[in-house]
Amino acid sequence: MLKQALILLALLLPVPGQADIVVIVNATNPIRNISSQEVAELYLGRSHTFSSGEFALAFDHPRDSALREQFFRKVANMSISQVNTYWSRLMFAGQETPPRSLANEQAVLDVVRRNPGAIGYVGSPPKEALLRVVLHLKD
Amino acid sequence: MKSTHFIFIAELLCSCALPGLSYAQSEPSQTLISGFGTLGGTYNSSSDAGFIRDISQETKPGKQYTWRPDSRLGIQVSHSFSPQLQVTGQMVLRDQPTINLDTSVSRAFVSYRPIADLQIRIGRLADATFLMSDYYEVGYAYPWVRPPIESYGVMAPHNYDGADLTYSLRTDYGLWQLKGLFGRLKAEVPMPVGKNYMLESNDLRGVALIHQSGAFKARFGYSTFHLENEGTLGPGVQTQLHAFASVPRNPFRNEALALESDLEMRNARIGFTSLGFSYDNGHWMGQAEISDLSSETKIFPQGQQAYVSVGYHFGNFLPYLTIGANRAPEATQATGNWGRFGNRYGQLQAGALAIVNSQRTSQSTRSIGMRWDFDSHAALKVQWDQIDVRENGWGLWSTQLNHSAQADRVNIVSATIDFVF
Repeated sequence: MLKQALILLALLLPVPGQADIVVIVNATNPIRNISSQEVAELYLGRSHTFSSGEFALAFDHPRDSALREQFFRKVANMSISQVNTYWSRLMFAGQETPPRSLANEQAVLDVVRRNPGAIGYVGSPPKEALLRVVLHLKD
Repeated sequence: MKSTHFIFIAELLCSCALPGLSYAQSEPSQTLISGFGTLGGTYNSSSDAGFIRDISQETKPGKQYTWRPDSRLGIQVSHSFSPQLQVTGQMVLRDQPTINLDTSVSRAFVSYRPIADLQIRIGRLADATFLMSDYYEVGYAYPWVRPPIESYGVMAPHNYDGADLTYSLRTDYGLWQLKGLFGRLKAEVPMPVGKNYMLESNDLRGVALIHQSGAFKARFGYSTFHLENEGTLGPGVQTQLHAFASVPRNPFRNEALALESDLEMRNARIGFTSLGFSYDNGHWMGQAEISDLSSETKIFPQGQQAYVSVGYHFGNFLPYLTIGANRAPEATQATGNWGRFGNRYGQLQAGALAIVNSQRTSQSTRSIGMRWDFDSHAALKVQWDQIDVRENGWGLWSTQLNHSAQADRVNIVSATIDFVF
């Protein structure tokens, strides 16, 4: 009985790495941190620059990825359906273009490493000098 | 004008199809191909008034089951050269009087941001009359089967050729945007008899003030334009009215001249003013809009429109209730019987009155429906509308001129699948 309860508890606990999401920028970017509201505005097309005034280039994950679902839940309290509905308004109205979606986390790391104006998010803090974590989104 | 469109569109398509030519090395460069669509079916309880979604459509009165009003398919290609510069092209296949390349291209524009808070767009842009005008075609983007018909039913042009400029201001109280636009309009509007009316204008001008704060959005808009073309119903009847008014000592002279002037469409000024609010916090959904449509010709809808809708999200289910209504200036009535001058004058009077009142819009709707997001890119919607059309208020329906203009209640039942890809 106890064993079953422990298994159940283990199943209910968040899997390590799924709980946290980190927002990253290129290490040459002057910003040291960013608020989750600023991140939400960049990913919802309501803002186009960092607080420094530089144009920001936001990168996203595939539309159905679990990481993306958690990300929008955390920064904007929106479900994937709500995010897709929201973006269908702006995109097909021709007002805004959504953040470019990349195939996987490695692609996000690569593009942010190469591009001084890029911003992205990944499931665990990258350990490399060319990238900077500017926000931890905890559960 | 048409050839300019084609060249512009061709340039757009080339630049989208061949992004690699000059921008392959540039990281921000991105081509995005996406689309949307609706597959819908509608039952209409009226056997003599055809159901349409807006006055750019036409259907055979008596046709009670139809898939045409709401079904559509749109494809969009956009290419970003940088966060500042994008081009977008969009085509929509939908029910409209003429379907060709020119009428199917719904967006074709360049968007440029010289600074982060200023956006300039030039080309074919979405209509900006109401809160939801610029995503009117995208069923997936709103909760209902279609935007409330009393307001959006008067939308004949769905886009315009011109330019707009949007300035954004971020404050502690949310995002404010001020938009100015100008351009030319073109749309084909079916008439109860005879040829379709070509609605054209070269002097569209508009402004909008938009406010967004969290789940709340408000929008005020004003736009105005003059009609370029004379009506298709009027001219023959106008000549006869003028001749009748010229009969010496005619006691109905003023009535005949008034009807003649009511039928005049060329140079008539049209003005739209609207104020809309929307709210959706993931639990409660609410939206309301009031608008005023003024027109110097009676052969175009005019009056006031309003709707209120409330819904609640139960997981992926969103049931909602909507009420909508519009009203028009008093219908034009006969002051006496012209028939005493001869039968043909009696017919002229009846015909002129039927034409003048045929575009009057006066009705109210109660709707109940539900949206079910069964997939992250698709939703199923069902909706029941009970519509009370007042006497001489059938301007939002497809009717024959000899259709009884009496008040009536019509039930519309619709189901759609809306998707994006």
